[in-house]
Amino acid sequence: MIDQADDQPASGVAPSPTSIPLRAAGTLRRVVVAEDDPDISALVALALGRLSGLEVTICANGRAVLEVVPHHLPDLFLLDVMMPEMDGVETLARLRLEPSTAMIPVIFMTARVRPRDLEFYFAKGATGVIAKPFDPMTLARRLCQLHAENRHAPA
Amino acid sequence: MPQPDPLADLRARFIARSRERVQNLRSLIDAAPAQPARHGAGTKEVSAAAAIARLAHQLAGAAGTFGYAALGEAAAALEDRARAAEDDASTFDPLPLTPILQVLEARIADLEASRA
Repeated sequence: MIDQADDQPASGVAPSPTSIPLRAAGTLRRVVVAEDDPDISALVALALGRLSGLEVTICANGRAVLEVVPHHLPDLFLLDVMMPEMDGVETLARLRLEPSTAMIPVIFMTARVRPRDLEFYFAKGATGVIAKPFDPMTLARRLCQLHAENRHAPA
Repeated sequence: MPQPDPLADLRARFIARSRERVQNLRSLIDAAPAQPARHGAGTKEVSAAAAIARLAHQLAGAAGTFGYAALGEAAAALEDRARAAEDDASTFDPLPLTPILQVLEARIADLEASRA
């Protein structure tokens, strides 16, 4: 439907006290994010950084992620799937080939979440998938959950 | 007393950028007639339909994440139409996209008015 008249923010995006305490949920402190859309990357930086206390590094695509990681190993990667230059799936494959990043959880964020899409992402080694659009005010908590679940998963 | 919106500055920037995106979409659609929908296999040149679809996809994703569902739905509808044109037609007819673009422009105007 495209005839909705009132387009005020959904209630789930309104300010909410969901940001504290995150670190108690696990050891998630540093996140590297790859997102080519400047509006979404700014939103993610705010939601994970200033509002949730995580250390966030934003990259415009997968190639930038690979340039960052030798100097900055995160606890988790959050990758958009569709990006120019290097998409999320290829970035994940490259990260898995590198010993220092092979075991770091990788979460995809994407609007393509049909069952066959999800099957594809997990077959490629994704730790989890966050569907777009997502609620920025609960993003940090969801990442902490996925990170904690991954830590407790059998090897 | 309501709490201040921590996303207020980003929302303002997003709405301004959305206006630019919709103007870019308008330019692409207005310039589209007579362009082939798809170029030859192997070429990296982007067709008008593909460019419209990509721009609309970005707008849809960002709008939804900011909580602007109606804007996101309109952008997603435009993306779907553009992808269908890219896939199915040997020539790209932008005419069916115009009404959706008008809806998008109206949504942006509503958002701008609500923040004025």
